[in-house]
Amino acid sequence: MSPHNPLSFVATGWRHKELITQLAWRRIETRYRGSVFGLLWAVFEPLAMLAIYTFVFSLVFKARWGALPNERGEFALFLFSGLTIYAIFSESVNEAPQSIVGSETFVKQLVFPTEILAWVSVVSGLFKFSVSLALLIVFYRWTQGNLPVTALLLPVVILPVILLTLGVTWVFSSLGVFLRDCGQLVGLGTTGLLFLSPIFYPASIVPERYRDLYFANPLAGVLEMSKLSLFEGGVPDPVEWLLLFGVSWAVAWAGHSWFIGTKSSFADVL
Amino acid sequence: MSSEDPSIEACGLGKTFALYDRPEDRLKQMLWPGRKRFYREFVAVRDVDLRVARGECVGIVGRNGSGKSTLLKMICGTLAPSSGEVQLRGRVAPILALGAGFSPEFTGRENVLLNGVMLGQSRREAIDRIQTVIDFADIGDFFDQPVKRYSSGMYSRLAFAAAIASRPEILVMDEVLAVGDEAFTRKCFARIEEIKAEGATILFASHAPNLVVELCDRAILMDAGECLLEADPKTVITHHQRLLFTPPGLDEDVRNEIRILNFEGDCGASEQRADKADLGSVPNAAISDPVDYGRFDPEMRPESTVEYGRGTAQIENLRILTPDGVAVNILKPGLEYRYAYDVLFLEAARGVRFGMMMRLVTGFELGGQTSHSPGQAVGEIDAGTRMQVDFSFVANLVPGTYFLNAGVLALMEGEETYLHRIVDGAMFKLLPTERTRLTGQVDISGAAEVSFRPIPQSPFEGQPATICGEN
Repeated sequence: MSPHNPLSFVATGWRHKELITQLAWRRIETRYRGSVFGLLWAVFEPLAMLAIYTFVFSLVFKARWGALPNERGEFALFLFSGLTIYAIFSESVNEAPQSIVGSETFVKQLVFPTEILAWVSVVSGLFKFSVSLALLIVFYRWTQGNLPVTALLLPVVILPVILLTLGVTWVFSSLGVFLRDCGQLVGLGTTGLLFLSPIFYPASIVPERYRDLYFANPLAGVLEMSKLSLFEGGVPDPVEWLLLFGVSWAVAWAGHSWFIGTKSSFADVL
Repeated sequence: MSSEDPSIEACGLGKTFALYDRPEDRLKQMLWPGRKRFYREFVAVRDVDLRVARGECVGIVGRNGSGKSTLLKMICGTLAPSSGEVQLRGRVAPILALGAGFSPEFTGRENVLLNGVMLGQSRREAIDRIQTVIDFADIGDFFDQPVKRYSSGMYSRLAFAAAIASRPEILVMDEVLAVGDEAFTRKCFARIEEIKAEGATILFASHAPNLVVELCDRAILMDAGECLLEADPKTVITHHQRLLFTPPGLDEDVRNEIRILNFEGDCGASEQRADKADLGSVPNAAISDPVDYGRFDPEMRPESTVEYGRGTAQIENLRILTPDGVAVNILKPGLEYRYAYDVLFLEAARGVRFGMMMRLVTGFELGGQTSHSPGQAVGEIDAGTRMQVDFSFVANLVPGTYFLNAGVLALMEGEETYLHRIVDGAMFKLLPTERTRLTGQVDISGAAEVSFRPIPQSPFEGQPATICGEN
């Protein structure tokens, strides 16, 4: 399959699935290796954040999610779900400019398909996402009761996030080789998008005339849909979702093509 | 895919690096591939044609910066060639650097497993091969320690073991053979010979002339990015050394001469060297009264030992003794020693001969002896007999490490076979002395005398220049 075929990035990922899972696991382990609590930190971290959000937003700010009441920490759970999904994107993209530069030996001394490094960061991001999601479910049950059945749609709903993450990661991991400024640029971008996505507030409170522009960010749509299915028991509009999915696929495809097109020069630059 | 097709085929392979003063210039060049040039050019490899047949072993030699590594990287595919193309037929195992991709925080075992998957094995295969790696690296409990705790020797042992554990069809190595101590080098060497014997194609770059001479069927001399000479290893090494000792200004002249040789294809025909004439006087009488025969280092044991045979006799207790019977393994050049071993005959044997062989680190067989010539073997030996075999030898060798074999031959069903043979069963070192003029492997200064006289015009008058043995 030609690397520029729209399906090829999925094929590459599938072909190297063993290597990707191994490397993703190593990445996760490296973070906690040598610490006393080891992998327990993967649970402690989001747990601590959830506790802090609950305290700050429910008890200090008494913030409300649109018109919804905030009696038993709903706001913190909404916020936490948004941040958790957004983290899949932001962590992978933030690491992107360094991912090739930091894997010099992989590029120069091993016959190694560097394009799978984007898959590796997405897979390790999905691992963290699963841990946070599990915590969210436990907390929700504890404070609010059972999640609606539509919450089961969540893995499908967030598929566009995975595709977007892959595409953007490919672009910036390639650019990072040539332009060291990418690190700064990307940091700014992901922080900006954090506030420009419906994470701290519902999209419904965005003024009408900015709404179209606001939803040009595909993450905004996905985040809204995720809250709908996770908390409100609604099924996202399939047409809207397919549109997002299509756009995200195009981003992934373009990013992959760009990466493949530039990767032959990596060894020359590093 | 026909078996006649070469495993490695490179055509007009070239690599030009664009040297950019600033990294963003490269991006500009990529985005606007127009008239403006943001870089300077550096030609690392120029128009190289290379064909390596299946099962062939080819060595690449050349000075530092001659383009060896660049060429190997292009062949493996880690570097994109600027011109020409490469075709590989078979699974390639590149060893461009030892321990590439190892993470210091992880144990040897974890690194080896992941390394295997990165080299294209499935996790299952990698797990199956791990015992081979453990045996080969032989680093004991450290295998399950994070590699950051390793000594550099252990690290290279592990890395080499991991790299070599797969069964590659094409093995490409860049300067990775000279790792670890000599016993380990010998072991690596044995493994590479094994890979070669299995029919793999090997291409490697090396600075060690011995290695190239003994492993390779053919060699290539690279200089300034150009393939100057493609010939038998010995010739190539000779010209490589010639280039090494060429003063900077004269490079181009020497290169031209070699190019012409390569073109004519008759290189290496005239390799007489007169510069070894100054051999001076050699002391041949015993010098000082208490002769120092060296010492014994109990840590020094061969690691490449291989044993085989019928199992009806057992060779044991291999040792090197001074004339007074003291065991030593660090020897002094020029002195006489005895190489001894015991043989226990578990069954009666007929037509018995004992043998020994001395080998270099590279496996090259330097010389051997047998106790009897083939027709005069020992008639009958009863079961339960124990014999001591002694070979005396003079350490007329150049400083270095040497390995010793031992073997018992006997007639079985009319054929002479090994009852027991130990390859690399003992080893010794020869320490350097002040007589460091020696080159090669054998000390010829005691045995040969060199003299010069002009050759008369007519071939019928007088004798030519003599180089005569004294023994």
